[in-house]
Amino acid sequence: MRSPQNRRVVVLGHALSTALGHGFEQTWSRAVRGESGTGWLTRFEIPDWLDSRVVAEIPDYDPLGYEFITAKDEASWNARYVLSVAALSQDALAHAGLELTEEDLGPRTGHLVGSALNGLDSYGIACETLDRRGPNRVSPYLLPNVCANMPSGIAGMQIKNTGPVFSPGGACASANHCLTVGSRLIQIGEADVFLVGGVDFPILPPIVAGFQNMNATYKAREGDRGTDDPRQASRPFSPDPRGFVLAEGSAILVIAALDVAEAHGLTPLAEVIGCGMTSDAHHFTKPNPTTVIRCIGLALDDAGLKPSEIDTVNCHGTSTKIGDRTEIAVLREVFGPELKNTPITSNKSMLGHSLGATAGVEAILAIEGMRRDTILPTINHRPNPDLLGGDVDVVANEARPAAHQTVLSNAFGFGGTNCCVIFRKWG
Amino acid sequence: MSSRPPVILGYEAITGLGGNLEETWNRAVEGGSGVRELTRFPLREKFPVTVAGEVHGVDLAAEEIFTAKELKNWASPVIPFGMLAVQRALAHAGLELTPELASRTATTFSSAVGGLDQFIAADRELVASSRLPRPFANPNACINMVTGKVSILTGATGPILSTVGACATGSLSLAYGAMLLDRGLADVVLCGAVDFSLVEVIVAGFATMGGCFKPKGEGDRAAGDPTRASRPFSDDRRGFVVSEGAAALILCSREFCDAHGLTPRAELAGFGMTSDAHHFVAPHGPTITAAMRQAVAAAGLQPEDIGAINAHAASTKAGDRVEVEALREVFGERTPVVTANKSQLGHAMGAASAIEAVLAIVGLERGVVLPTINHQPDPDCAVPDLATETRRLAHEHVLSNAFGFGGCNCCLVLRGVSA
Repeated sequence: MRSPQNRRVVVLGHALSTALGHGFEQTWSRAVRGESGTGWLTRFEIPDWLDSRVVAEIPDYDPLGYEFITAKDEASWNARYVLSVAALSQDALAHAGLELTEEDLGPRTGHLVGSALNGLDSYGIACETLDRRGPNRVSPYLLPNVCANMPSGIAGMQIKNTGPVFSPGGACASANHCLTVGSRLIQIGEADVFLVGGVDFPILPPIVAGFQNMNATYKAREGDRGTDDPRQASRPFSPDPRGFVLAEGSAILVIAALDVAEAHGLTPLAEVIGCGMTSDAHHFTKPNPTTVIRCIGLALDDAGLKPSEIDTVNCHGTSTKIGDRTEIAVLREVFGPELKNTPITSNKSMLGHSLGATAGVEAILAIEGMRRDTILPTINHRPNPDLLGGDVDVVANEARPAAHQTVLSNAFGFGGTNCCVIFRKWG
Repeated sequence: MSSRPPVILGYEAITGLGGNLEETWNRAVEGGSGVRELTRFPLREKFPVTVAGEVHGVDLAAEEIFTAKELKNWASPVIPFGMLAVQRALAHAGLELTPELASRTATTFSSAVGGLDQFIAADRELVASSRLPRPFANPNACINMVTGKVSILTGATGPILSTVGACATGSLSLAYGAMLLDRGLADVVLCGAVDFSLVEVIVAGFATMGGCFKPKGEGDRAAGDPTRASRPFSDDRRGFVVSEGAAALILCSREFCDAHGLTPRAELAGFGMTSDAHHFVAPHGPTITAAMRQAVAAAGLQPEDIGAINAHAASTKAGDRVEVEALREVFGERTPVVTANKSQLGHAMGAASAIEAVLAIVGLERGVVLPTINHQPDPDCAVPDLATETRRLAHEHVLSNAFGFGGCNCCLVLRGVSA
């Protein structure tokens, strides 16, 4: 094995698609105004049994808008995460100002994209084909579509990276896992650059129904403000959270060793200064405060920071009663009296919960928030003294102008997988 | 942080050859095959695939770690079989995860396909009767849940991650585990992988993509004898045989092993990871060559130090040929003895590389190279020295190859420690 190195890791570029729009500018300009991307489900006809019918769909992404994607590609890759990752990888690399060649960086660039549900949409289609037309008509692209590492593989055919590739699976924390794994592999010299991120397109009948029956997602109910106005369904830290809003999302970040960025004359957007990972070993969906506290502690240790040196927290904040309550309790434990000086926010109030993608989306918004001296709002917020007491500063309803240098980004997933990442503003 | 290679303390495999490692090994040494007629689902007329490597002979209900309710909730076999493999590997390692050690134990045990059978079941039920999926449907289908359930079973609260990388998933779980140890982020890692992908729609997909073995009629060697369907490097190889399996390996840092007076069974001397950036399923010589070279170099070795090669060799026309060419590129005329476990086991997807790592380690310990059964030479895919029968051979280093769909390659160099 190579001897340990301690290279600094920086973020050079990014790209995303969210319920607020395809591309960073669309998402950011609407988020900063406190707009919501949640609304009535349109991806399939709403059946009678469906109560969880408020979701967050990406409104304007069209794979055919990308030159390298043909109509045949679109038909073959019927798991939507494949081409989304290919498209955003190209955008993120362009945003970073990097071009990979066989001579320069290609062999030293890896790709890590996680997803909770991967290509299940393709499976659904194949099941229908099997029933209606028989086994010999099942798409030859079915297995490639559902292979979790395939989006990275297809992206690689465009951007020409031949370094390490796999799909770090960590449910709703997947994208933070990718950031962490990529950063570690760069630190120890296994690669120089990684494209990392997460993706999920989970709005499929059995998945929506499954979350509904788990009592995990928001269910429409007459008289509820989220049913009168579906933009108000996701309301983390409010007195009336009623489950998360299932969302589509896709996010890619380009991270690199600082020495490599400098050698290529590139200016970082931020530095990845600390990562923490723990497992709950507790329950398959319920959060476990002890291991979550340790996870944040590990990230702080890794960054060499005290809690008071964290300027803001980008919460996991899914808008479930137990999840929000646990996260606030954990933050109280970690930050103590400092918590009142540490504004917190949940992007999921606007974007819903895009499972494997969410931490990637939130990382990008957190980094750009530092660069723009802005903390994005937690919308739909109503005062909640029972939960928040006098010591929790939620950035409620309106974006807050605030210079800040560091952000802690939390992500906790089903299966008891926790991953927290700390970013520092560059320069 | 550790600068010395991590070691493997214990392992277990559950395969088509046997419900545990001992049975698997004994039958493998005898040249047995785990491939038989496909029985996991009723075969509708003209279903293109008829053979598979199914796991039989494991009575999950009799295992102490499962209650009836647990088995009902976690209906996808990947979850209980994954848990069982890890529990047995821990017992084999003689390691008890005390609360203190548990917080320093990471989990990377993974699956390439995961519990998709449960997604399909939920989908079918919803279509047929509008019945909502059980609350366990989505957790079963969440690909990292296998990893999560292993952590819950063992109490391991260190870093947790599923290293999903198609057919290289098991090898990746070891490579990533080694990195966690290298960075001092854990002392012990629960590695390995499980896959049970004999689900009708998946098998149909493998058939239509031309990946897996389809019966060709009376002229084929496998007609009437499914054990001859998987034949890596043979002139009449016609695709892989989809199989089931699980294998777990307990990895720890050398320092931890020494400090606790544990007996290492092998060292993970090096690994190499590359991606093809070439085609979504067709294999690519230059990048698999690079992965092998990286693994050998990372172990601080020269190609001539490798004593045996555990090939990926899935029994596909192009895949086997490209691997043979890459081996020649790396090793030249001095290519060490090669074997293909998939000739006996079929292809257990993400679990395959974990199972093969286990068999390679046992081979190092016992000085044995397992046979590549069903071999019939192919001049276009000639392996200089293929073990077609079980061979006694003391060797110190084995290279284990895994190349997955999507162009995801991971090679391991394992070093014996008994000598």
